[in-house]
Amino acid sequence: MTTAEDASFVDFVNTNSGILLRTAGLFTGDRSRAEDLLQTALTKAYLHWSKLHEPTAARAYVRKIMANTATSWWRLRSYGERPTAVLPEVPVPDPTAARDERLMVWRHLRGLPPRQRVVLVLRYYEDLSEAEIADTLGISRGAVKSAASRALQRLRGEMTGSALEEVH
Amino acid sequence: MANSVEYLVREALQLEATSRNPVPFDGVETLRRARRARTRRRIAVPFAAILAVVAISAGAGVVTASVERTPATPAASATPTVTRQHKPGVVQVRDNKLSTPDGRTFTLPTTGDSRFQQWIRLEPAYDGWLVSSSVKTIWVRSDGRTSVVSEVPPDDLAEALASPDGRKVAVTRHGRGEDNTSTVTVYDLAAGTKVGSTQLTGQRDSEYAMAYRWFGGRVVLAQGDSAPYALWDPASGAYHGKFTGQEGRLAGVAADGKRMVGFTTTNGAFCMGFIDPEKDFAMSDQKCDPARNGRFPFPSLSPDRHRVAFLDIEADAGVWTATVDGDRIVPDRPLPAPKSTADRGLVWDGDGRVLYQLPTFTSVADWAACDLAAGRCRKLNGKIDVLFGAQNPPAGS
Repeated sequence: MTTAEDASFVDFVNTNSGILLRTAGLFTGDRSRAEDLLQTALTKAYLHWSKLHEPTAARAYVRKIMANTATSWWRLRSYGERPTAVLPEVPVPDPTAARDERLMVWRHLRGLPPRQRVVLVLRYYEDLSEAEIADTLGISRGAVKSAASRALQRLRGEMTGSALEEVH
Repeated sequence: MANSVEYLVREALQLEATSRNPVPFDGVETLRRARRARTRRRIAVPFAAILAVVAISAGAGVVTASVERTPATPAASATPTVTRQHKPGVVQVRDNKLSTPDGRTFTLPTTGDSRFQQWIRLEPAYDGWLVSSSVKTIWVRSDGRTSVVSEVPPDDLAEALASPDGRKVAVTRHGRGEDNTSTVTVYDLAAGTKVGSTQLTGQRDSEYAMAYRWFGGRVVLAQGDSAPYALWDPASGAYHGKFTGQEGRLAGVAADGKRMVGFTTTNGAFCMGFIDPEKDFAMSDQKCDPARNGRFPFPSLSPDRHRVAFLDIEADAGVWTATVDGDRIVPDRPLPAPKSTADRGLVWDGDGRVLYQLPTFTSVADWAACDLAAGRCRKLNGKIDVLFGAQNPPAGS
């Protein structure tokens, strides 16, 4: 890799890592794991950096690696093997009802299986279309639709009778 | 209602993202780490292979000598702490101790991973059990001696898969931060020899190829744990076909020994059936279940191979089963099982129960046990890291 490519990689990280870290945080629900996830994705991207010239394409590529990693790589580690010294994040009640409501939704989102959570993050945070999500995750559009539908159905069921009804 | 859920999800994600306010990475430091990973990649595979061979030849088995004639002398192993107490009914690891059905308890070494201190996989193996963390696999002998079968650097991953008779183990090694290349090596525990090795490149981003199931003396390789598959003979190095394009999971080898039981999801349609590794994993005698369309559960075949249980972490139902009767697979009545989000699969015990991990937010977990005959599930006492339902270790004990 040339010095110019290294400089371009450094520039990309400095410019985009904040945005990507937020997405990683939503994928994992945990700050340290989000950093881990992004570092892993950036390292993989670095190996192919000579082919990634355009920042938007590079960002999409890193996001793609993160999405797939979040649903597969963490399989070994994600459940039942969390560091004992770190307690899971617990939403703190907020005096504002609307904020409480969203914290509750986030808590339910964190409880979703990894693939469903990733699909919702890509759909409702990254604003990707079903086709784009399918391409990102390497699955069919039907599978995206199915995962999103099941996730929303599950959230609906878990939120029934609570803040959800107050929206309308 | 649907719109309001979507609205709330969008709002919740935006709020959570903005509230995190993460500190961006330092580009130069990230570059340094990436370079280090690239450098390590060049040496990681040889390092891991050497480590495993050293462990095997020095202790996890004596090269060219069978255990029947020459009991292996573990290298890295520690003097075992063996105590006798309760009879748990299953082999399990709890508080870094492995407990056997006959009441023996062995103290295990550390997992080799400072961040994740629980063992996450347990399988019966020749004269004992294989216990694995994300980076280390140890062979715990029936007399309590332990040997390191495989260990990789903390940032890498290694997974071990014991053959049905427990005599061989297929170890997948994958370097974190690398491209999708992984190495699968098969060792003969009983003989203490290396059988064969292959290097693979994953077809999907971030999903590396791995040893997924055994089929006789051959290994089914998969992309991730959800297909596509390829069949590899570690002794000859031959491949039977290339990776297929299907999606699904395999539960295990059918009673006839010629096919495997599993499911596929073509365009979201869930079909159980018999999958023939010799015929590019084509499915036959399938039973499609529209009620399960879109599902992607973890299947496991019972020890007598006549029943398959599915753990569905995305469904409220949790666990369901099907009976494998000759060439037919017939779904059973749904089981009133508590749901789980722990994608660790499920295990069978010798009493026809299926056991699986319940959702957890702590380092160790509760497990549920479902009695299929009684159609009832209950929570097991105490927190358990991992367990396996085999009543006894395979041959050699």
